Amino acid sequence: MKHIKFAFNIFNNKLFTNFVLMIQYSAALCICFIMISQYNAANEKAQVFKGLSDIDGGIFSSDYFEFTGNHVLDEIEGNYDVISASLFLFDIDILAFDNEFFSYFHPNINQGKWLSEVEKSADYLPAVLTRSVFGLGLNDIIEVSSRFDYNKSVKIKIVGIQSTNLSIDLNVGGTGITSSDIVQSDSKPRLIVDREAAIYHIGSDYEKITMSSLILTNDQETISNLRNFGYFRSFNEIYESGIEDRNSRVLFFLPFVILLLAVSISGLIGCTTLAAIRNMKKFATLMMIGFGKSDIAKIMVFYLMIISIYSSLLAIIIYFLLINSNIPLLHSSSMLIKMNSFVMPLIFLLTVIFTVFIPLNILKKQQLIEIIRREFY
Amino acid sequence: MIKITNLTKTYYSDNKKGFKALNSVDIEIHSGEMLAITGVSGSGKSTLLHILACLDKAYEGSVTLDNKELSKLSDFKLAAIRNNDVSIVLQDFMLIDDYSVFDNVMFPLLLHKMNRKERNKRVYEALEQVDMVANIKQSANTLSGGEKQRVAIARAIVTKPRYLFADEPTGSLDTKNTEAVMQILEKLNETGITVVIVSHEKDVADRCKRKIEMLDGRIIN
Repeated sequence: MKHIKFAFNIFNNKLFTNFVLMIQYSAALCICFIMISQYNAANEKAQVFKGLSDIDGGIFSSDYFEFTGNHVLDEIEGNYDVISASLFLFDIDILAFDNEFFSYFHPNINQGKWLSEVEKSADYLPAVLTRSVFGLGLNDIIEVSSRFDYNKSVKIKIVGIQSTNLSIDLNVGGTGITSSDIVQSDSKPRLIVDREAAIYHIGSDYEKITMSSLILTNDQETISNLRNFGYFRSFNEIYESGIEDRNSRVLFFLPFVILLLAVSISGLIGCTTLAAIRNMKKFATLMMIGFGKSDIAKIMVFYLMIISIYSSLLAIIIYFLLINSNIPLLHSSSMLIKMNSFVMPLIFLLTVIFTVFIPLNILKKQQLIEIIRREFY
Repeated sequence: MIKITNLTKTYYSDNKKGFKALNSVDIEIHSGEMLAITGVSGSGKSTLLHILACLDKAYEGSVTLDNKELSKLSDFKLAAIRNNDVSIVLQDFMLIDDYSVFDNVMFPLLLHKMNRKERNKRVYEALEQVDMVANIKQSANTLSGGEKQRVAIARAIVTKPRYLFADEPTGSLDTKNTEAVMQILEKLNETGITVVIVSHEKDVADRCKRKIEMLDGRIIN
């Protein structure tokens, strides 16, 4: 406590300078948080395809699909298998995949099981929820109605809840395929079900066939035909473009982070060094009554920690305001408490090490008697 | 007891030319003594006091304090001695101006393991001894010179040291405050504390039971 008390005293003595430093440091931290958020948002999307990137195949889409569904594939020659996906527009959108899909794609499940591990039931439609919302929990049985026919309802049992709100929806309603628009990360939850079971419980009349399909093939000639006919991207290409997207976001923010951190750390070094020199008389007095050099070093470290903690709190507040402000650039940011809780102490540690090094070195070289003679005689 | 044997302190200027501030000094200071070290400016008396108060360890020769050889002790142990066994009062008081009288006197006790109640009691006792309880909440920078010196003495005695060193303690004070400070130092000596005063003022030195006169880094009388 004694060290903290003295650290606050040094902090309060130059409140305005410290405030300017805090603003600089907060800006650096804030940009850093945003960069990490962007990295994580893009990485989450990319990771969805990591499990599929080893599979020979990809996603195929054609403008003709809008009118013909995946029957258009009948016209394409080649050696391939198709996994179909479709959408049932209910109170909560129900996304259905052919059973084969569930053995290829296995998302991180937070609670319960993935659909490949669940047995079929005649009483209800088993579903995995992409995000835990509306008070829905594991093993809840809910009844949802069609958006177009309120008389049509289906009983659904939630057998699993995903860790992240991401699902491959095969570009429903869109016109092109990119890694970002086939993976949904918006706040709207979805139910993922087995297509065959969905047709059994709901009926094919309510099914909206998607414009895209998962194609399984390792035949280059077939892939070439698919590319000629429509838009085909292999799982690996999608994964790599996701990684590219992730890296480009980091590269965009990184110079700002480095610049701002460099400026603010330089400011902190200057300020801490000046504080050490300006408070030499105070330190000499403390040493004269029995404080050691290690105590003085602790005071300087606490002084820095006060600035860092205040700055971080300010940065966190600004960060939360930004991600809730509908700025398009930040819209896809997801809160990354885990990552930021690792990065923040790391930045703290590096800042303190860089910043106290010079003032502590100055203090180390000073002999107590020299300070007393200089300051008091 | 303090035993000084063949103590030499050399200051080196930038051109490496040495100046001997102390030159083969030998003294014994017995427990409970009240000793005055006098001499003209530059005679080495303050340098000697700083070494005795464990503020300076760059010297040749031997200084033992209660049979502990000071030059062999680490900075950490010297700091512990400054906190527990010896205290120093300087002409310029060395108070921390932006803290109160209470805080200034309490600071040395922060390094002691004691609860707040006991700490406060010790601070009050020390301030009572120098008649400064009435000013306890006052900021140090609002005190007069005499008051500052009394607070500095209270800070020096709050840890109940066995040795109190005072370097020109009355140098910045008027006659009235000089008298008050000297009375306090005499009373402290009566309680068993060894008091060593460096002063160029004859009146101050005459009030001590033993006097040492220095010139050019040597004891001449």
